[in-house]
Amino acid sequence: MTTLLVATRKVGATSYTFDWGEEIEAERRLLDSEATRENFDRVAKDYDVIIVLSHGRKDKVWSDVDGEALIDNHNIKQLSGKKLCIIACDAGKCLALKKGPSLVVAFDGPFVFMPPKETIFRKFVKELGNGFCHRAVGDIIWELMEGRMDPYVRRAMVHNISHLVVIKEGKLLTRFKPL
Amino acid sequence: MTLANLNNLTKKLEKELEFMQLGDDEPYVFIGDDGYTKKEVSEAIRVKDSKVLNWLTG
Repeated sequence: MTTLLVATRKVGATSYTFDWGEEIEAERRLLDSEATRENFDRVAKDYDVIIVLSHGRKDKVWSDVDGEALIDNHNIKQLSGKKLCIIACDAGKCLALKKGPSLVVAFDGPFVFMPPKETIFRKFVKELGNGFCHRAVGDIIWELMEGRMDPYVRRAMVHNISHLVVIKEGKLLTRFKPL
Repeated sequence: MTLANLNNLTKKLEKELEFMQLGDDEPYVFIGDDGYTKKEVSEAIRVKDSKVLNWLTG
């Protein structure tokens, strides 16, 4: 299995999430100014697993480098049979992602995090990106049950996990609903 | 979430924000792509911004 990681960076949310991608294993990385639609279309077909840390909407996963869609209806066919993990808002609602990839891990709502307490969010994203979806969720649920988590981090994490979906062959396979 | 619970949460959050000693332009939370600073979180609670309230109340 070969992995491509795409991470965009600009002022705002991606100025944090970009750094989290460093802990995700990948053979190839399209980072920062390289994370364009043109580059994505050129190299994505060569990898089995694609991880994106960027922005999502109902109609596309997009890059804040060039404002272009990285994934939409026009290039979804080339992702047929691939596994995708999208760390972005609303990508779980993206209709294109239900048409090509064999497996998609994404959020179908806003992804919430707190920069002053980013360690736990960073670890969560690292586990998701490295393919340990259940461990990522399990660790958070463990922390919730232990009652060690700061109340606002807890709320943000419950929100995130509630919106985490796994889509297999276009159909919702798993939705994590803690507590 | 009752109003009393919300007020209680708000007070706790204000203390937390004070404790964090964030600068005026440092975001305390990103809800989606929108970052909220200490001041903006307080204002969002005051005007009952649903995006912030949904996060705050789980």
